[in-house]
Amino acid sequence: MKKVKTMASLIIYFCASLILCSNAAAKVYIDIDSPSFQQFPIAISDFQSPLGSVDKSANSGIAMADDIKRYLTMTGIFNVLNKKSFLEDNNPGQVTATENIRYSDWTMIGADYLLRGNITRNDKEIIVESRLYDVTRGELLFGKKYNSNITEQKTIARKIASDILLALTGDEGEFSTQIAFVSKKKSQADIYTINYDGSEMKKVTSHNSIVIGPRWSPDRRYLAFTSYRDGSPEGYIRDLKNGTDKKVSHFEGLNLCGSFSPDGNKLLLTLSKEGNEDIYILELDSMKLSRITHNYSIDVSPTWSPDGNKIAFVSNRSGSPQIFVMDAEGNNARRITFEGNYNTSPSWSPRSDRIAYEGLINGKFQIFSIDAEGNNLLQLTFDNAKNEYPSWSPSGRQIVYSSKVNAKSKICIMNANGLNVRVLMESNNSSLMPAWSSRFK
Amino acid sequence: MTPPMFISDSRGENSSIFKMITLSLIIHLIVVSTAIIAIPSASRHITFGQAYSVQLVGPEVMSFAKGPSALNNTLQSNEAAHPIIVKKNVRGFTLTPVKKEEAGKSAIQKALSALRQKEKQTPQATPSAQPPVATTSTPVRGNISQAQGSSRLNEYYGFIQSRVKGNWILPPSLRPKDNVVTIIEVKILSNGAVERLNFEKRSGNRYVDDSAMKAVQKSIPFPPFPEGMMDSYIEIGLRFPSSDLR
Repeated sequence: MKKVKTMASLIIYFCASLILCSNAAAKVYIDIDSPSFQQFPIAISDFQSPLGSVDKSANSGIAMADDIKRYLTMTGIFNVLNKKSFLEDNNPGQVTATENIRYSDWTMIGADYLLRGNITRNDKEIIVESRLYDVTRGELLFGKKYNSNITEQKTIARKIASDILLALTGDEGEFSTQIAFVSKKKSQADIYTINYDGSEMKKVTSHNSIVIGPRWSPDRRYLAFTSYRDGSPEGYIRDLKNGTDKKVSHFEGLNLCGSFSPDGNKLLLTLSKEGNEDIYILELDSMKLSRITHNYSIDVSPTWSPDGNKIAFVSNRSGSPQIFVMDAEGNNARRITFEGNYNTSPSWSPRSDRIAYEGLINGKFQIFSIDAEGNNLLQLTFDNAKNEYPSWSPSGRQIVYSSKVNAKSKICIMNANGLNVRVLMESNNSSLMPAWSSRFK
Repeated sequence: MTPPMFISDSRGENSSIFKMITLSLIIHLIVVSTAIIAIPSASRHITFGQAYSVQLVGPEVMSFAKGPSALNNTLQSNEAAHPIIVKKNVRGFTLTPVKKEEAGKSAIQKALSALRQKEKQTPQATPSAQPPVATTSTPVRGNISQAQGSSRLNEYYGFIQSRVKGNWILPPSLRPKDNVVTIIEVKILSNGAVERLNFEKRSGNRYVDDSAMKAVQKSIPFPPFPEGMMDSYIEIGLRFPSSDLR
């Protein structure tokens, strides 16, 4: 009987555990397929000035908030909320470390982040203190103090915007970068540089001739370009520190500059000295030249990949100008564009493995991007203009390009997905071939 | 002719049979329970695309229906139509980028007014809170059928999905190159309160993880379970894939 009992109890025990197991609900997974919004909503309060201060401080607080708003909007990843939607601001006066923020006031209007700060101006300098809050979590992300001399309020605004970007995206954005481009007036063309925010446009070359194709060195110290100053197209490198030009490529025929290598020691060149255009690598220390394409076709517009292992270029070896990718030694060239019959000006993103280029479609040039394997082709511009010469930003988030409609010529910056186009510079002179520098260190 | 061993010892005969039976039973039970436990219970995986709901033509339209009552009965019983959910591949934003941006802005307006509505409604929601019952069984309440209960559950899932999705913000340039997935598990009680909220699986990319957690944090508290939903709590995993588009 004992055996029967133990057997029976064993059976009951097993069955019971099985029943209980199967009753536990199996986990349900719900797919949130894609984000609904592409921009962080951020609220920027006017910066407060110390109580009882002179009028100019009060206005500068508003100006500071507006400057920061402008810079954040330029990045294309922020949606700065309208001040009018803010609920009653209950904390006038100085922003302090211990102030209590009513986070619900800000989540109600849809803000994810909040920036508050103080600004103090005296005759000699400006002192700014600012704090960024994560309103959803209800915590302070960072608080920092900045100072500068009296004329540099915008520099502080740029620094604050950079710090916000660094905190939220891991890189400080493009506020310290410059864009070099060619501006053509009548029969002369020269290189100009302009800041990311559109300020300080400066003329760089004065060759009294045609100067084209600017390329930045990775340390921002040098600009390579091609000039017709001595009659034929020759390659130069300008030292931006002391303003001197050095001729680095003066072979027979065409001498066009491609990009610098990521370590800054080599420069890609397109030379036609052997008959038709081919791609060469020039070592800048030794001035040693090596040829890397040996085709009967025309191979031009070379640009290095960010890791230095591959080179993208344009070749008509398959019948029409198309984008190819090869090793940095010149082997294993592979075509990557198969749509359209005129694709040129490749630019390799410094972050993702995508290549932007201009392609002829429906009789117009538009900007496209494609990954380095040739998949995931994306058209980025669609308007009725001639959109050419794309160049990536150091963060890989934005692309600068030139856009020409009738007589109006513009340099534009857009996000890498084609949205959020901003006109950097506009003129009646032809503006072309923009090149994005690295960040100022 | 009985084999000799069965003649010899009557008690021995019983015990050897017993031993066989016991052994066989134990082996059976072990195999069956291993089979049930080892094969993972298929976790349900729900993807929502466009939800289409179909309105069946009711008997009132067919007003000539002084006709056979059997027809009326069949029509009435079909009225409890479940919405047909079709999975639709979400295509990239390539074709009409400008429209997408504008849609985003109007969606913000909608979200704001929804938020204000929600703020007004939350004080009314709390009185109807039911005390959480921590059992694993799911008792059938009243005369609500099993099928209706599970359709309410699906409705609730749909609501959670659209709410969390509407709060998910991630700039495309922050997405990593490869497709990574963040999974956040959340236990929702019948009054809509959240008892547990944490990462079940981190994608490894800090920005994707943060954006997913924020999306869920902004969506809570959820509304209480709709009437007819039988569970006292639900445990779900929210999957946030960061499929690379550009």
